[in-house]
Amino acid sequence: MKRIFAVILVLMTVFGLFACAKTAAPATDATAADATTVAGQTETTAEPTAEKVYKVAVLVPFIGDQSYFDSVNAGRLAVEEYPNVETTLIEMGEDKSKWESYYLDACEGGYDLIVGGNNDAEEYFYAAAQQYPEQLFFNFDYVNHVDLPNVFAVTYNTPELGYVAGTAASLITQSSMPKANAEKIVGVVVGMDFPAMNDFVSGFCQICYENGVQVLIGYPESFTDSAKAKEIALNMYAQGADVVWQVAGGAGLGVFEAAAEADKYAFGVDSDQTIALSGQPNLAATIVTSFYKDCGASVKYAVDMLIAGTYPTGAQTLGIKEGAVGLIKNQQYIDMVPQDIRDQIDAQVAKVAAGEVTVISALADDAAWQDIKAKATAPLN
Amino acid sequence: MTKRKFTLAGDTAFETVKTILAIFIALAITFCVLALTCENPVASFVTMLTGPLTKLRYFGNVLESMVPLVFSGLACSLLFRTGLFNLGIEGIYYIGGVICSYIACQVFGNSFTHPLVAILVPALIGGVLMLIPGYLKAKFNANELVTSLMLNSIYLGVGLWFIKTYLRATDYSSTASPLFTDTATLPYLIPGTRVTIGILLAVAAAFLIYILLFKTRLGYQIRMTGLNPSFARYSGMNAMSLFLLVHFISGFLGGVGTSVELLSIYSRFSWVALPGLGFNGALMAMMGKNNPIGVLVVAFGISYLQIGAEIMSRSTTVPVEVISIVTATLVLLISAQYFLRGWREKKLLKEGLLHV
Amino acid sequence: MSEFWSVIFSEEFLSTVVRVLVPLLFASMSAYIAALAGIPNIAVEGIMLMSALFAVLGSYWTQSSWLGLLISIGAGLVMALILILCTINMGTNPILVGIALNTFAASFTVFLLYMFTQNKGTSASLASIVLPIVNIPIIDRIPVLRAVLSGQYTVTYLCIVCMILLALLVYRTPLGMRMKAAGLDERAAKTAGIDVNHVRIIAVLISGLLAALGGAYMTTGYLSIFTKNMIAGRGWIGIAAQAMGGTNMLGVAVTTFVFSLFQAITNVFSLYDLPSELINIIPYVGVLLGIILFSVSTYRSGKKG
Repeated sequence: MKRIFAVILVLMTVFGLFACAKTAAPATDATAADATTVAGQTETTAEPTAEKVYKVAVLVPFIGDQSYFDSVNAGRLAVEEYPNVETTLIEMGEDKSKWESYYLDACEGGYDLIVGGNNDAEEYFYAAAQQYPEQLFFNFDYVNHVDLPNVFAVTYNTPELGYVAGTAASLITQSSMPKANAEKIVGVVVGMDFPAMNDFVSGFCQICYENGVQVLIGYPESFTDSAKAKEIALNMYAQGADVVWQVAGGAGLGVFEAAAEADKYAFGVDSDQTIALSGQPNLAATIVTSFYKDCGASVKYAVDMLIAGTYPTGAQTLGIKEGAVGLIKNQQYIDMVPQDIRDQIDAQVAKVAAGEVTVISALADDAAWQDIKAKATAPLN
Repeated sequence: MTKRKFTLAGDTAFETVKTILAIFIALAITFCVLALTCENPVASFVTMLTGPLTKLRYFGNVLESMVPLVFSGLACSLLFRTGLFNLGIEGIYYIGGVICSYIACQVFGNSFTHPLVAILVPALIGGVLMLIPGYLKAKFNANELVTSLMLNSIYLGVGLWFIKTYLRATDYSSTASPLFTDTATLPYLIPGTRVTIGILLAVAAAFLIYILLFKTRLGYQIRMTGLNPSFARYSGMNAMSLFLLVHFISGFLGGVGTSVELLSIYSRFSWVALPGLGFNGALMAMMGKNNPIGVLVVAFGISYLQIGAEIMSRSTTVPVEVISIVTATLVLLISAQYFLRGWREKKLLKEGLLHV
Repeated sequence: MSEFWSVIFSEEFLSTVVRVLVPLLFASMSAYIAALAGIPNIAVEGIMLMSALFAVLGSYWTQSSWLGLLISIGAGLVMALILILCTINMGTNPILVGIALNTFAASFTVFLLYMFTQNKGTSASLASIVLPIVNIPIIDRIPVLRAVLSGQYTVTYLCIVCMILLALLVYRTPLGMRMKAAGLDERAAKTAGIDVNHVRIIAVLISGLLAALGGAYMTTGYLSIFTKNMIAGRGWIGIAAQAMGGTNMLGVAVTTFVFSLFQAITNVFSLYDLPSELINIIPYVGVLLGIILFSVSTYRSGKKG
């Protein structure tokens, strides 16, 4: 009996030693940012005691999805750089029944601003906001905003983003770029089938249909099963798609695997995914561009106003015009896409920013979404 | 070492010592993990152990997270007592939850009748659904582990589809039901916490099952079947109806458990995957030696440590995932101790099992 | 619909089925060998997850894909060892240990991932290395055979080798017979002089090895990155296949093949407008019906007999 415990203890120690040894190098960057987890205990820089230090708490279910919540975290890390800001990242886990406790704990934690929200957490977010009217809140991506004086919320025009992505996709599939084929077919791999996710695809379908391009839509019904997403994407490429957009979080990485194997193009989502795939250059090479929803920028936006003393209330929609959504224009994009196509994409972006286009939203109008989905996915003759 | 010796009678004092030793060792391992992962292991460890006692709200969290575990544990313990390894409570929790949500979203009755119906209907349906693997086992000897696991996934798929097609909230971005109407939710018991009368129902259920098992003839039959199937047959009891009855009660408890959980803690149905409460029930049952009072105690203990770990992770750099590592270690150690005792009752000295 | 059939009867589809089959086959064989010897291994999913992660970490640390494979096998064997220790030495119910190990693996992999990459979602920032795709010269010109045997990932070929070795072990060696005996009736086996524990230990270790290879397949070829929870139930499907086939290895293999067929079909189906939740339960309905039919027919033949 003792022997077993000894073995287990040894195993744990071995794992632990490995952990200590390996984290010695890469950890230093992260621990600097993560070090300020207990409010007030560690300061990132010395500062005069007169200047106020703003304590910001950011509540998300988890980070590491390579896109959405990581983008929020990127915003947190950006404001962490400010000399008078201290941030705390609180990962609530995926069990929603615990989230209320996290929000209430945060309210009692003495923070100047609580950043949270996103549809799933909204009920706890606004309940806490009502319970603690002195506490300031920021909802980085709202669906149902409740008008409270201590809450400021933003949302993103995801359909506009999909519209721009669809423009790029239909241009590429009809172009003579090296991996584009004769068929006018493109694909989208969407994590799960519900309105907020379909919002990415509604605008996409709208413009593709207008341009006479067929859209293949696949749902792996998971944000983590990358193998399934890969199979779906491979299928799409086999059916003639030459570019597939992944909107499936962690699972979406499987789409890049498929793109590498099929030697075709892929689009990233939420943030510049070529950076996330730095360890796998052959996968990163398939990404023409990524279509981002800059939750991080809006976090910075809110904190900037907090520091300036102009923290607003109410709700705001951020779209192309505000630069909160758009496409990443890195060197790879410039290298891969010919000038004239890039110009056409920019022109389209300008049109949307000017408000000249009404984009269909799955969240707002389900009937219109079903209609355009049927039209866009129908095979071309 | 005294723990190696077999004693024929149930020596409670001995057993308690063994349990405490197991907990102590698990906590020691936990401490090692903490020492390797965070800067202030002593403080974190203390937080973990005493956290739930620092605030009423926290202790309320312990009580509220105990509730589904108790129901699920009771349901599983009944099944396990008959010698069957049926893990179908997980699926019942899901589909029962869907049914409960459907009822809870309607405008119906008042604050007494609405929850009553919302709890009883899934319970009855859960009982009936549990008959399926039971019947297949009793009549055709179909492997109940497999049938129950398959049904879990099937119930998940069907339930999820039902929510998406018939019960979907149009103003919500992920798949979820509309909000439950006010009359459906259970009343709060302790102000300042989320504890509802669910905890009373859970404790009552535990005592009822205890009385059933140990003070009634039916309970005697249930216990005997588990220990010796042929005894049941030769005593003239109808094995088939016994099997089915146990399954029904078990499914009924599962239905109650999921409904109470949803109506106490949640304001809408939002599970898009199996919640895991059913599987945890299996762990409760095994650690509680299939005894209703044992289940109650174990559910409290595990919930206490779970909440303690969560409180700790909220105030330290320890990632949330450490909690499950800790729980798994605990589960393995505590049940190991128990199972040594359990097997003792069933068999004589097993050579080779406890060699040095 | 004709599109559907033309996709099904294509070489690409056959390739897809093989790709999908490999992890499921490893999982079901892992469950098979352990169950054969009398210790049901429910932890297949967890072992696959751990070894998938260690394949990535291993190849990153050693910058060699083969050493990475060995390290991942090591991880699988350690998990199997824990199963053995808890079951044989401490007498815990193996199902309980399996459930505990699965829960442990799901969280511990994220924990380790975070410790080594500061990222809780994927290992994409690590320069891990995959094993090569193997093209066999003559076969890759034979129409249907080439879809199955050529151009597949390295671990796929390891799978073929393992299946042959396993079949030989179970059906042609004394050790295999001893395992079956231990699984059928422990007491009788002991009376016959078989060291039941010794035989079970070997069986569980092999089970761990197979599950580890299944997990390694996921990150050394099929995909090159570890994402959390990436095994996504493949271990459970393997267990289901084993439950169908019981002690008959061919039965388990055929069932696994049928499941992979279903999985591959659901990948094609998912592009059509059918409710995905219902499509995804097809394999489980399949097993359930299979078990029912099997049990009913056994019962009926028992009555007649």
